[in-house]
Amino acid sequence: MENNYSIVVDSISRVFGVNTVIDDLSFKVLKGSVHGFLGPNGAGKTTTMKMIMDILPPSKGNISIHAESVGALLEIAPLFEDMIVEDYLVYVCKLQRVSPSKIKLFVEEAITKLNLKDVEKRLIRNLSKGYKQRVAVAQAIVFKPEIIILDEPTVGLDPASVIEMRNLISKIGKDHTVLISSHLLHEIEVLCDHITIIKNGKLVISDTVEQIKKHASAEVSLRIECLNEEEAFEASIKEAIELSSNLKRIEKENENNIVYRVFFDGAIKSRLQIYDLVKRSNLEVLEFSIEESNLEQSFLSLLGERE
Amino acid sequence: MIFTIVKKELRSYFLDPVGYIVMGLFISITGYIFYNLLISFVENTQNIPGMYRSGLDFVNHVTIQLFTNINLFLLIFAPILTMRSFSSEKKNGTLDLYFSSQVSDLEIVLAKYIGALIKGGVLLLITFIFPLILWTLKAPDFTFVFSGYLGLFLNLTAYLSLGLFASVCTSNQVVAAVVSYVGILFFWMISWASQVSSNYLYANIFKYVSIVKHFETIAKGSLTLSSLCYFVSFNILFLVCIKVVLSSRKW
Repeated sequence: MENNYSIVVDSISRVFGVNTVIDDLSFKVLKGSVHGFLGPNGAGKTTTMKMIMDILPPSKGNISIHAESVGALLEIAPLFEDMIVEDYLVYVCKLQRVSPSKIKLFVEEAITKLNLKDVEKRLIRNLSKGYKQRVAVAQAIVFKPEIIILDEPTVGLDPASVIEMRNLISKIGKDHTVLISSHLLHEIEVLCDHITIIKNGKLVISDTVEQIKKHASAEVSLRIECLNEEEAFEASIKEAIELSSNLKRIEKENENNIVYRVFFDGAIKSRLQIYDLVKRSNLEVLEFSIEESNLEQSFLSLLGERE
Repeated sequence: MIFTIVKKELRSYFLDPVGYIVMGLFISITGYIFYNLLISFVENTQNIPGMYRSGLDFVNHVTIQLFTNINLFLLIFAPILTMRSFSSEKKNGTLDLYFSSQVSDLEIVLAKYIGALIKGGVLLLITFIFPLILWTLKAPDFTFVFSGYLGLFLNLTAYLSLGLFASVCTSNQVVAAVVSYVGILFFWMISWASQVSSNYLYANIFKYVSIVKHFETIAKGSLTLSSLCYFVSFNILFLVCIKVVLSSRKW
């Protein structure tokens, strides 16, 4: 069973001085999957990734890597700016002890895969931020590692480069197991099959994207846009919330018109109950719509940053 | 693997204008000193009556003085050669590239050390022009030239290993340079303590620890086992310290 996993993180902890940065963290990364690694700033994502890379040892627990080699792009792109792109990739291959007969082929493949042909003879220091990031990804894949770890690969890139990078990662994900951390939740949602969320060094959840969204799918809301506001309606909803657990809360916003959002458990029965309460009120309703939570809302909900 | 990293180190150094500025400054300053030593020797020779001229010794007044001065300037230039070795790699995250690849910490240390030795060796190599000039003047006693260069090289190895240690301790290259200056000056000035210490044992310890005393001995043509042991252990000590600092990430 363990053979299905490329990375098995088993109850690891990491202590720096008196600070416990990672606390009893466990998760598994399925072979051949693109696995998202999420958490707020300072959650311990980079520390965990460094431990997986064997740059840092865990203070407690074990990490099993079921692969011969691991490529990584950590927080800071490890670029030698005074080298030309091609020489740099050759150098990385040599450091990874790639057989000399294969180096040329491997470098050519990485250059083609990351569309670096135009800049292969240029000094890295003269490249744009987007190209530099591509070179940084190229160094992580050039020696064909089975696992690739990408820590915030899109940070600091403009929107066009972010889309480009996302496509590149998606391409890489077809041939490798990828563990990726990012602040752009939409990006993670598009790219990843599985997600691990951590907070304060502790595991919040590790599951498929769909399951994580379901976990927070209590956050389905009925959006009611109306011309007037009515305290009696708000009171009736609040009363219903107190009486049953299927209705969660009500929020009111003053956009162009008055917008009520009634959060409920997503069940049809609950929705009909809200319609009934609206019917009994004097609200002049313009529009009803259902809003389901996206990964961002699920993420915030799981981190307990919402009410 | 060591050779691969050394090659990369040298390539970076020789493609960077800073490397040439360092070499240019070094040869200009030492060249000026050499010129002054020669001129002052010639002037002294002309000003002293013939019967006392035999007391003027070219080796003591020019050759040894030249090497002592070159050694002084190596003290200033060696930290420039080492300050970026580890600190800039730490700052730029490239040290992680080595840590995550198939390179051992010992290989990293040795590659950086050999790279620094070659860079320092080039600085010494360009000063070969001075003995060459002396040779055309038929002036030098090559025994002292050889011992002078041996002394310089051994001193240089010590400066570089200490400089690399300072560099591995910080991600700021200026801090690395300052720490290595302070370190080298400590091993330089400790000889002064031997002169003022009334305790025979302490005075001898200070004298042995002082880097200058060993240089003076070697430059005067006597390479002792004690001096050789000093430089070998000095280098090994600091290379081990560098390896320990690199490995400390795993603590």
